[in-house]
Amino acid sequence: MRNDRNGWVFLIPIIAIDCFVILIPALWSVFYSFTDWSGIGTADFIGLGNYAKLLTDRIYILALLNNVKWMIFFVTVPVFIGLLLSRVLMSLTKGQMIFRVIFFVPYILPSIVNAHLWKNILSPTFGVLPWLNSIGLNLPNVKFFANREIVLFTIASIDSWRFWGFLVVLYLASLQNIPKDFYEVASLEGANRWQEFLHVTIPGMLPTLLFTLIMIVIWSFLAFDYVYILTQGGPAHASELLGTLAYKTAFDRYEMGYASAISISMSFFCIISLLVFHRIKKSGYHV
Amino acid sequence: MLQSIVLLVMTLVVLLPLLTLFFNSLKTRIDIVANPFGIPTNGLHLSNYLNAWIKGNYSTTLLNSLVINVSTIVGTLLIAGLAAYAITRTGMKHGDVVISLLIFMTSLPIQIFLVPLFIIWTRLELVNTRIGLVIIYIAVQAPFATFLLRSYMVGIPLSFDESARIDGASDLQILRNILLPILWPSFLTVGLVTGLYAWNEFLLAVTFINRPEVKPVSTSLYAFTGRFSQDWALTSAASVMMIFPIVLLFIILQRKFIEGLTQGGLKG
Repeated sequence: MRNDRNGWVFLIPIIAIDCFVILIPALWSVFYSFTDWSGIGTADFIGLGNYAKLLTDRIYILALLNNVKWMIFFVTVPVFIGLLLSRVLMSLTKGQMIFRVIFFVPYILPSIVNAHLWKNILSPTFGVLPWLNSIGLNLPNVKFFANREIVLFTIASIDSWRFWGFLVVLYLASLQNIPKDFYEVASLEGANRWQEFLHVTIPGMLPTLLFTLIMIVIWSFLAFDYVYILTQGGPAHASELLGTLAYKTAFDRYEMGYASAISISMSFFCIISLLVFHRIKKSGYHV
Repeated sequence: MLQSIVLLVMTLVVLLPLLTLFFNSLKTRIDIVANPFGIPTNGLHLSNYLNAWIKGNYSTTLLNSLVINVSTIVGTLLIAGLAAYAITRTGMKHGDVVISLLIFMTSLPIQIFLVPLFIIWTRLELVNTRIGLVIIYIAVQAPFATFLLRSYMVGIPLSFDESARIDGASDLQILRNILLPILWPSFLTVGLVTGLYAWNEFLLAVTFINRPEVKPVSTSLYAFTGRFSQDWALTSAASVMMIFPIVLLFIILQRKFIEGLTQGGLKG
């Protein structure tokens, strides 16, 4: 009994700071989302007005679709690279460690440095394309950040350049946990490499694979840094994400009520994803 | 053979941009126009670093980042250490549930609490202060740090505590005198993860701090790269200075970094 009380005493600091910084302001946001508050003055209750507006706001829909594109990009491209390279590293007899470290470096670097680095490399005036053209190639000078068709893809690629190394390390650890016997049995039964991958590797990695997929889905709804730093959502909202839209709605346009509704819709998507994951985990990873 | 090619290509994909950053920090602006992607051929212009240091106000911003980092690490380890102790060693019920709820809260988008928090912080005069940012960082990091510390702490047999308790040690004394000496490498791992977060964090820093005197390196560099966007040499030098401490620590302690940053993924 004495210990149980002490336990709660030790939890007071963390509960207090998180209630104060996160929970209470978040609940406050829920309240604001039902008002037309502008940051100053009074907040008038407008019911579900902000949520109704979301459904008809062209820019909100655009941002949401961009988030979905972002998510599709991240659950495919970096995951494929991660699976491929972890398999390659697995087959190395030495040097695994050094590659693991090299691939991990971009993941620990700040978004501002990675973004700056790629903005210059992809610059239409002094970047890699003008340089290649100056030494004789004849490539079209793609404007990676100004072209509405490709700007989102450009930024997602930059963010994933930093991200896939993280997946390599996770998948490698997961591969190393698959017992060697499984592969021996598979080869005794005459499985080819593809069958082996399908029936031994994938089931062995399933918990890690699903965990990373669900994390990526959630992170896709949280994405902010690279878009904000590189284009602030432009040109003409072509790279707008829910995160940047909510931020700008609050801090540039002072529509606090509407910004709250946007961020609550973001949280809603995250919670749905978490529930799906929970469901899969409970069923013992049988999808 | 195919595997070697894949490895080589992906290694270059990682290293070439980083080498470009480093090489360009050592060229003059004119060198870069003629030679944007090669090694510096025209001498090493270390003066970029001096210029970036002065124009980027690094003596102030590095100190700010250092203060913010150390305070965040100490605060997070303290709060998370207590919490991890509570849920693993006091036999309390429902502690795990509380931590799971807190982790859930901190995995929601920051935007959901940003505006009201900004208003509260303005009232409390915590906007544009380092301590104001530190409190938010601790709140965001402590639940996950607790989760990590918990996974290490459950590995220490409870009999260690019991013998100390018979000798009359309190919970705090057990945590400090028994667990901390054994678990310091784990605390170091969690401290590194927390420190890396605080060093690199952008969204909260750009929202809560706009006075140059208290800005950390991250948002100061953001303003700097905007202001000198045409001077690739200068901004590269400024970038290298920001990542130098991280890269150095990573080279020395890479196992701990990788362990701390991937632990959550492996434990699921």
